[in-house]
This record gives sequence, structure tokens and C-alpha cells, in this order.
Amino acid sequence: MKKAITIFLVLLIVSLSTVSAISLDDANTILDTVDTSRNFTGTDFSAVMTMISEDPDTGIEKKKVQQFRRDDSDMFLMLFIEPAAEKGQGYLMIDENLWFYDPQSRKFNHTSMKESFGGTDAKNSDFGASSLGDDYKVLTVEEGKLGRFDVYIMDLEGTNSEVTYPTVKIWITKDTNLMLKSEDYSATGRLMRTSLFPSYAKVGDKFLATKMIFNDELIDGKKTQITITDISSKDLPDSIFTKSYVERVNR
Amino acid sequence: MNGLIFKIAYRNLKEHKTKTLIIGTLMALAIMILVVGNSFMETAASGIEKTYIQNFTGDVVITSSEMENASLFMDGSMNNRDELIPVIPSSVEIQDYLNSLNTITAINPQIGGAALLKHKEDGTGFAMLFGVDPEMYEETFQNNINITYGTFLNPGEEGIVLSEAAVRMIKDTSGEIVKPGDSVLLTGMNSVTGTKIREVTVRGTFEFVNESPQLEMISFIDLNNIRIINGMLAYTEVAANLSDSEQSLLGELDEDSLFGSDDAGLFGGDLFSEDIVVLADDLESDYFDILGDTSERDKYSQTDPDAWHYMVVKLDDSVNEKRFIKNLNNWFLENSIDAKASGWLAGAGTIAKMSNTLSIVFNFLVLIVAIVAVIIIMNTLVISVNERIGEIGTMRAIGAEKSFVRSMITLETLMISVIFGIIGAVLGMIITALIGSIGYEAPNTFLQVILGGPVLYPVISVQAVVISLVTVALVGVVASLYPVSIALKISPVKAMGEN
Repeated sequence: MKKAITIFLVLLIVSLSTVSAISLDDANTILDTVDTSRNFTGTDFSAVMTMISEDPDTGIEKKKVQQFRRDDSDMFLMLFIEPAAEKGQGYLMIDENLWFYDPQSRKFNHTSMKESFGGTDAKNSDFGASSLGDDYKVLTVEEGKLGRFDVYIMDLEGTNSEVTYPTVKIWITKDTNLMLKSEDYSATGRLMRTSLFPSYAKVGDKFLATKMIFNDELIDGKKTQITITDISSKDLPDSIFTKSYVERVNR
Repeated sequence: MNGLIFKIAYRNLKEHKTKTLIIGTLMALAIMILVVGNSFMETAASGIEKTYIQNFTGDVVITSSEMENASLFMDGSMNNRDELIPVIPSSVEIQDYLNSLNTITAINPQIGGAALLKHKEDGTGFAMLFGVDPEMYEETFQNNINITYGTFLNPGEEGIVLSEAAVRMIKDTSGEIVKPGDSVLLTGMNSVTGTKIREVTVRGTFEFVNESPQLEMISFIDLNNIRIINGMLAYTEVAANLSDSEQSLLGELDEDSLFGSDDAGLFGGDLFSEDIVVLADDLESDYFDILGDTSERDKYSQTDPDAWHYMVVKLDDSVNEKRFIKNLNNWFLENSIDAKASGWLAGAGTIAKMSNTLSIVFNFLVLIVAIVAVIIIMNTLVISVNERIGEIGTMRAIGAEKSFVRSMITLETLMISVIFGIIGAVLGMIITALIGSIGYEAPNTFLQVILGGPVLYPVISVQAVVISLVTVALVGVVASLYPVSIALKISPVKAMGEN
């Protein structure tokens, strides 16, 4: 009798898990959906980012950045507006090249998407078009909760060496497919950074994280919070995504 | 009496030739290793000390007291790329005070930094930077570099003097050789002005006279460019004003409250806050005036001409370095200046310290060898004493005092120790002299660092020889203690009966 109950319970658990589990294929499709809902295809995008960095050594710093994006062509420009000492510095992504501009020397130099953005805990790759579906494949997926949200929790592995973090764990809302949290790991499996996205805005049919928090897991108490305001999905002049615009605006 | 003890001890050693030779060879070998090893260590350590004092650190290094590690090579302070090396406070006052002392032969203020290098389209590399005043640097460190191409920095001139290693790095990535007159782009990062790019002219290329893997990454740069790269500004901006919402996200955050548990969380559990979306329709007309007034930016690009990271001081030979450092630190305290003075070793950083540590490790190993030697000798002597129970008993029976037996065994051990100790020391000196004449080429970078260069010419250390001989004599005496106590317990009657 006992044995029969055990077999029944095992079968019940197996059948329940089959019903509720999500396949890896489905999970990969969700990744693509995350990209689609975050990328501004068919339209340009601009906004102002306010970044506040906390560092146990250097204290609190505030930066303001004007962001222009054209996800269809994989282009963006980020211009520092504050503080005064960094005003006019910019990151320009064109033709698959990311350039940094220093207005003091009036020089551009190549930089990498993996580098820190303006010395904050954000990476340059955090501000371009989202390409989770292309850059990562889902290794495992499970269902869970984050706060009051029902989420899919996925372990991702980078499909190429260009990704900023080789392995990532993400929390995606089940109903809206928005990323709420990600844990970013090094190649050796060390947790490097935890990113939280507690607030989104709907711009047309797209979603934009309007609040981002990046916690540096290597230095206790070091983190950067980003708030996005002045959002616009109006078309931008082509000239904005050029080196000459960056130089001209700095004159 | 003494002669008799000596004769008996000598006879005993001769009768137990094999044991004597085994113990003796072991001791000679240990002493030989000790002499050669210590001569190597001492030559390397004194070479490193001389090299660093003469060429890089001087006798005293002054830094901000906030700086935990006074190393000029920034090991320990470069863990975080954008971390600032603290500037020495009241540098002008300190310099004036040092100049007023007649015990100082030279002062060299210096700035450290690091930057990525770019030459033309494809050439890339990395350099650790020493920002120097060319006149003061050359006055303090005469002839410590060989200019391989071009010139060193001229007074008041902007530019960079690249290390040969940096030139090689660039050549490896682009196939092109950097020449004097070429421009290179330097990109550095700091937490005041963020990423900085500087275009500087290459004035020359060089290598240090005393090569070392630690030194080959260093290039020399003018003061204005290094201060810009490091964000060492004349003015600092006022602290940022934060809104209530921004304040609320400071410090540690609880994820559950952030994502709204069943109760309302930080954002009331709402993932969408559409009300913050302000479509900036009027942005179009402002595209070219997006930065607004940039005049304040110019103010924050002015560098501080009195900002220094290090002050390297060379003292007159007659000055006691430790006393000078103590007095200088007291002067800082009396004048409420948050600076500190350290010796050359602190300024030399990890590599020089590693050599010192290795010397300690070597001496620890020697201690272990000495303990093992004591045990072996003691064991052999105990066996020898046991074999001679009858003989010792007879000696005691015919009137030999305990002190006679004690002296006899101690003398036996001492004779082995001293004779073979001297043989070992002589062999060690010969080997050291031989290696010293041809030079020992370090087979890898690690050993190069430890030995302070690619080839070491060890010099016989008199101190090492004396210490070795004293050690061996002590080992002999200590090793004989237990066998002596056994010998003294032998009862003459019982011993003779057993015989």
C-alpha cells in the first residue's frame, strides 16, 4: 500500500512538473521577445539618464547623460551633460565601432562595449540595443517569484566572446517578459554584478527600464543607480550619429 | 688533561670512521649550501637595495598618509583602475622644509599613473607612467636610463619617453616601430574627470640601466599630461545635490521591497510608472545647444601645479636614514600635515619585498635543515655511546669524572662540526667564487625579479661564512647534549659487568 502511494506521488509530481515546466526552446523564444520589447525598431529614441554612483572610497557622484539611440542601425550616442568637468564627453557607436570622445583633447579613441561606462558600475553594453537572443542561449529555466512578480529564472551562457559577461542569470516577468534582475558572472563563475530593473515605462509598444540599479559585487557598498527621464521616440537627424556632431556640439 | 681528552676524542672519531664521515659529510654539505645560498641572497638583496635607492626610490619616499602602500610602482594602489592615488598635502611647505635641511642631496617630486597607448591605426600597448620634472629627475637619478632613440624630456616640454617594452608592444600589434616625433594617444581613467584622452609626442625611447620586469612597463611623461590623465585639478566641483527619490535608493536595498512584496514596496509594487514619461518634443531645436554653457568646464580642466603623489629624497651618506624618517614624520605631526615618510623598501614595492621575504624563507629552510642535522648527529652519537658503554664505564671506574666524559663527547662532536664545517665553508666559497666569475643567468622572469636582474654575480658573504660556522658549532654542541646525558647515566659497575 505504502509503495503504491509513493509511486502515485512520484507520478503526480512528474506529471505536474511536465505541465508547468517551460522548455528551453520556449525560454529562448522569450529571450527574443525581451529583445523585441526593449529595442526601438522603426523609430529613434532619446532620453536623459541621471546616474548616481556610490563608492565607499570616493563617495557619491552624480552624472547626467543625454542618450540618443537608433536601434535599427545599432547606433547610439551618449553625451555627458553633468558634471562640468566631464561635460561634452561622449560615447558614439557607429559602424560596429564604439568611440569615446574627450572634448579637452578633441580626440576620439576606440573603446569596448565591455568597459565601464564613465567609471560607473554600468557597462557600455548596457545602453545599446538589446541582443540577448543573439548573444546568449538558455541553459536552464525554472519558474519562481521575485517580490510580487511571477518570473522565469534563466541561466544563460554567452554564444560568443564579445559578450560582457560569459554567464548570466536573469529574472523575466511571466506576463510581460520584462527583465527585473540579472546576475552577471565571470568566466570562472564569480558573481561580478547584480543588476535590478524595478521600474519600466511604456513608450508606444516598447518597454523601457526607467530605473536601473547596478551593484558591484566585488566591492561592498559600490553601486550605481540610473533614472531615465525626458523620453522621446521621435525621429532624430542622421547627423547626430556622427563624429562631426559630437565635435560641433562641443565647440 | 685537555690534551688527553683531545687524544681520546680524536681516537674515537678515527675508530668510527664511517659514522664520522657520514655526519661530517652531511654537515659539510649543509654549510656549503648555507654559504652559497646566503651569498646569493645577500648579493641579490644588496644589489636590489643599491639599485632602487640609486635609481628609483632614493633613501626616503614621502606620500600622503592616506596612501597605504608607498610603492612608486603603484602595486596595491592599482587594483581599481579609476582609484585615485592621494596627493601629498602641503607639498610646497614640505619641499621648502626639505630644501632648508643641509642633509639632503636631492629631491624628486613625482606623479604615478597608467594609460593605454595607441599608435596610428592598429598599434596598441600599455604603460605605467612616471610624471616627472625632467631637471629634478635627472639631478636625483643620474645615469639610470639609456636613451635608445631621441632624447629625454626637456624642461617645460610636453611629451612622452617610451620604454623599449612599450615600443615592442606596439610593434607586436601593428608591425610599426614608434619613432621620436610620432604621436601616441594615451587613454587613462580617473574618478574626477572620467576617461581622458591625450595626444602626446614621443620624445625618445629608453631602457633602464638595471633591467627588471617590474621596471620595463614604465614610461616617462610630462607633468601637465599626467595631471590631466589623473584628474589632478586646481578646482574641485561641489558635491552633487540628490532628490528625495535618488536619496531613497542610496545604501543597501532589499529586493523584496524593491519589487513590491504583497504589500506596497518601494515603487508601490507598480512596475510601470507611466507618469514619469515626459516626451521632449521641443528637443529638436536644441540639438546643437545640448551642452549649454561650457565655460565652467574650462575651469575644471586646469591642473594643480603643486599636486604630487610622491617625493623621493636622497640623503647625504652621513645621515642615519631611520632617524631622518622618524624626525620628518614628527615634523609632519607637529605641523598637522597628513603626509608620511617611509624608507626605500616601502617605495620599492612588492618586488623588492619579495626578495626580502625569500631571504626569510631561505633562512627558515636552513633552520629546518639545522634541526634535521641535530637529530641525525644526535642519533649517530647515541649509537656510538651505546657501543662504548663498557669503555665509558671503565673510564668512570678508574676515576674519570663526569665532566671528563662530558668534555670528551662534546669535543668529539665539535671536532666533526668544525673540521667538516670549515671544509663545507671552503667548498661553498669556491662554488660562490666560480659562479661569481661566470655569473648566474636567471632562467625565468620570476627569478629575474627576485635576483634583481637577468644575471647575478654572487659575492662571497663574510657574514654568511661566519654565521654558518657559528651555526655549525652550535649544532654540534646541541647535538651532543642528549648523548652526553646518556653517557653520564652509565653506572661503572654495571657497564663493566655487561662487558
